[in-house]
Amino acid sequence: MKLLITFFLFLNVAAQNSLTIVSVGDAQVVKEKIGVEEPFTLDATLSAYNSSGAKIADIIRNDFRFYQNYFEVVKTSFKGQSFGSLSFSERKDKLNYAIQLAVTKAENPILSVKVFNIDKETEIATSNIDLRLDVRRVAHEASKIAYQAIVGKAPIFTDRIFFVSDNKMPNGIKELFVMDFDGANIKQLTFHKGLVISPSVSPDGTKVLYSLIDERNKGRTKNNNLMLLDLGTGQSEVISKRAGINSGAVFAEDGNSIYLTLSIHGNAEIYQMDLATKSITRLTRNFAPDVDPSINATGSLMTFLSGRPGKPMIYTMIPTSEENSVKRISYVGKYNATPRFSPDGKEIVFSSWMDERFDLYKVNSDGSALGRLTKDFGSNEDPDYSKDGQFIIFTNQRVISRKEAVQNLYIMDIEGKILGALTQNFGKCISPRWSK
Amino acid sequence: MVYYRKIPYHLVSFGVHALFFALFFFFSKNSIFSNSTDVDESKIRIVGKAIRVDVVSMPKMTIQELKKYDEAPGDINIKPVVKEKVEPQGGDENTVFKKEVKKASFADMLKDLSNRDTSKSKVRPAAKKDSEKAGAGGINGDKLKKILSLGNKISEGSALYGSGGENSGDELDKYALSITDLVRKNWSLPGFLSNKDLSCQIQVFISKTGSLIKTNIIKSSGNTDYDQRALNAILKVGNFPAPANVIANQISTGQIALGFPL
Repeated sequence: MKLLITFFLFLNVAAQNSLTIVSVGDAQVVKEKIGVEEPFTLDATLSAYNSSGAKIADIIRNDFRFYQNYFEVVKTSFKGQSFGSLSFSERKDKLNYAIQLAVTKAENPILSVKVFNIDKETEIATSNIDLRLDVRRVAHEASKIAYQAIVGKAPIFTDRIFFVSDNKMPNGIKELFVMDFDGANIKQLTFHKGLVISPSVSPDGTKVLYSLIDERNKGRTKNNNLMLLDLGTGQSEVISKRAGINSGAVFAEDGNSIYLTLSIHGNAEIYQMDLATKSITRLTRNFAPDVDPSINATGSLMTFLSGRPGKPMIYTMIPTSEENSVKRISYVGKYNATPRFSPDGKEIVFSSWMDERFDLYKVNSDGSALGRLTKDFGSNEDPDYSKDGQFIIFTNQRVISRKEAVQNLYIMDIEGKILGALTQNFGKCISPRWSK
Repeated sequence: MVYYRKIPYHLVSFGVHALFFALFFFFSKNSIFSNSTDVDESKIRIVGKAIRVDVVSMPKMTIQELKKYDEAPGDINIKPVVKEKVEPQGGDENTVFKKEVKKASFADMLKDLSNRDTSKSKVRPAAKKDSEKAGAGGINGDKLKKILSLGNKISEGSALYGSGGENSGDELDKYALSITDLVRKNWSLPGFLSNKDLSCQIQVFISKTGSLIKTNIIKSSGNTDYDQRALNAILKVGNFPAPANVIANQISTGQIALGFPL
């Protein structure tokens, strides 16, 4: 009897304490509505800037359209009575955020930016930008202020993309270029009259590594050199001119050393090179070629392409010593190429040969969750993540006729929704690299 | 002759009772000695299902296509019907290569690729089949991630924990699932808050008549905006269905918690 009573008492306590958790599931993702209102001109002497104001508003709208998974850019006819004051109730159901602009004057002409959260009825950011800068630069800075206030993270609006193109060049010549993240403002950086391949930008964005195949030394063994371009001075210097391959170089996370592929021992292997002393440390040792290193943001993991299973497959390793914790990541794919880490190091995007062309895929850095990004969209290669991890840029090749193909740079979100072309009618553009 | 037991009876009795008391206090310590809102984790049940995961081959379908597939987002009851919907898309990537390719070394392949005559490759125009396949909802979030790792083949998983909703016949489970359907309709997030692995759990206290008595965030996501939007999804429902008499007491004392997403 005593036993029974104790047992029931125990059951009762257990029941009172129980909790059933039910999953509501993933939220429906809604786009926040954002409106960029027509700019005010607060100083009559600045009427010359009137057209700039309208242009800036348009560029800001275009910037936010890149983040189309987050925002819907709403065309607004709203214009507050004065800069800094607006009717929240009027905008309530139509907007979640509003951006107000004003061309005004402190010591110099400036663009004042104010950002409002309509739901919470508060001003969430205010800032002034020097209007004497380039109009696109002013607009991107304004977009950046608004995005940071809303999302709490740095956007891509002031980032740059380095790439290689043969625009208006003789056959076999390709040089290095740079442009804004949205494809505007293209500038040529190298004038080697040679073939520039596989560029890589330093973490601080001041230097670019690239390999140069010097057409003047055609046929010689030492014609593939690794170069370093200082963006401050515009000068290039030779970093490595060992026999065979000197390519596929990427910067280490601190910018003081680089990882590159050399074939000094006959077989392509990955080495780490100290930029100050130029001394090299071998990282891979295998009969099969190991190429195309990519490093995660903390430098703790390297991904590379290796021919050790017979087909090129993606591997990871800890790049501190030779063959340290080498792990095979991909087990499928006819021919995998150019693995690239996402900035958080959680994903690897790569291209793979399928249906007679390359398409882009991504996989978690532990080998799980393999997903396809592109399909029926020409041949897609050489992907690279944006620094905020929200976008992937890549090279798209389309065949127009038997003798003609175009190659352009495209941008898509990380789930493969293609946002558009970044280059058009600018020769064959390849090897895009994202930079802060 | 006097027979002595090796262990006297009163000692055995004392031992057994001491054991019962020890067990009693061990299992009930949270409710008797503590006023904290913490819930003993060993008593928590989770209702829902899992999906089995295995990598098969290079996926034929893109993430975008997968997103347009399947039923509305967030339905935790994956029905076997889904299995029939997804036809095998030709899993073996070797079948796409009609030409016999001799086993080439990696270096040969590199060479072949660089010599590749681009004008020969056939590029089809972008297909517009996507919209035809588009269903009402799509696959999102965690489920999408799981399906991705399946190599685009969906199979019903075995329940890892909990009891499977409809089959259990348990009144409490049925009621819990019915209120999540109502809450899910209001559960929305801006893109920059979703896919961030945030999760919060909110305990709900619902009266016999179905009105919401109170809520209690038992696990915060760490992001106040996220927690607030989850809470709003519950508050927006207004009146819940009245629970059956047998479970009314359990429901009003907060024995159900909603997980966003789990």
